[in-house]
Amino acid sequence: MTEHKKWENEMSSEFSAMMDGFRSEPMPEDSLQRSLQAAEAIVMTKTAHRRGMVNAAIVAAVMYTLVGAVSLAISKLFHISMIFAVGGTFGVVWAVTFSAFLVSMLMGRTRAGYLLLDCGPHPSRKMFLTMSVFLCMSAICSLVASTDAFAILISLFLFTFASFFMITSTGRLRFCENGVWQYWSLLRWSKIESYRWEGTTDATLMLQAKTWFAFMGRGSLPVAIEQKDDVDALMQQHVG
Amino acid sequence: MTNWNQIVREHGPPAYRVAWRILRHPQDCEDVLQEVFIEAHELFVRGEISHPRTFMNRLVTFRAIDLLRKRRITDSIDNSPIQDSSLWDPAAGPEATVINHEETLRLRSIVADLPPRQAAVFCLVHFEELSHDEIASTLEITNGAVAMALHKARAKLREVFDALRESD
Repeated sequence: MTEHKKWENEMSSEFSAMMDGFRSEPMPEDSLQRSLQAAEAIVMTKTAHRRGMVNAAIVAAVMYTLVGAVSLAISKLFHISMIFAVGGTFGVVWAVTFSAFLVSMLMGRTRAGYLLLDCGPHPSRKMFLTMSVFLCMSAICSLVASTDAFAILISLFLFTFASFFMITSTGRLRFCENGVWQYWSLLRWSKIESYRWEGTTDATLMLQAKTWFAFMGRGSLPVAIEQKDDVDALMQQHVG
Repeated sequence: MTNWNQIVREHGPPAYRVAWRILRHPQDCEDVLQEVFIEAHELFVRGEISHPRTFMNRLVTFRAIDLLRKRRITDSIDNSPIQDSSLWDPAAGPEATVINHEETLRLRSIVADLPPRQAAVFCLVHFEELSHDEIASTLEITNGAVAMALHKARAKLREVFDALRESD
């Protein structure tokens, strides 16, 4: 008899039987499988993040190229320094982009229809919120330091950046009557070309939207493993 | 990714078993395992884990005890889900089942009250039936420390159970 078993017997026969019961009780298989799937999905969530980073890098590259080219042209045409040309161009591009973002978001919300399934907030919401707070503080510091027109302009831009990140931090992934609400924009069902689940545990929904360039329409949406079946049913129903 | 999946499939079930024997609550076990695997994944990626089995056992044991402590077995016997437990022999009758269930709650409550190391050593000895050497390796402590922690944990357990018997 092992040493621990001897001690349990010394306690009492009931105690010993209870400990035997503890040790022999089978694990709940369904709960174990859910745990293993969730553990494998940790890597899948990273897949979604990687896709997001690639998308962000593509957008940034396009933006920088556009701003650089326009700034160079303005600098040459109007004989102003490159730094002012870049600042002005960036300001205009940002104003247009932010306006388009707001309009698209508001229109999307009104067109989304009723909610079918809520899959929770954006995984990077804390980072967005931190950025928002940081930018707000920067804007306030800029205003405190100087109140000339240039400082006010800079603060205004910083506040719009902060608003942008504040809005993105509140975004949620929702499957609606008329499409997928991707945190802050609506992707209509009819605009989805295809979808697939990536990885062995299928925790990341990879979407391909109908766009001119395939790389612009790729999206990855991390979905909680327990909601995967519901999401898949909706995708099959609307996309096929 | 394949490597990670292999690690999950190989070390997940034993780790779940450790959590199950301590917590005996499927949702709590899933929470503990998820927390542990998230922590482990970062370390696996950085190649900082040389013995996954002992690492997982250690982490799961401490996290499960932490959760047990948070839960603080406050359920009364009447409110506890006796029917969820498949531990007891149905032939024993309802009275025996209630007594056994009461003992189970009591044991978990005492384990939750023990200092973390004593609780971990007790669980690994009595639930996992590991040897002192294995526990020393798992918890990264000496054999002497294992023996000392086990002695104190058992003394506390005996004290509480004796007091309860006398009161009965």
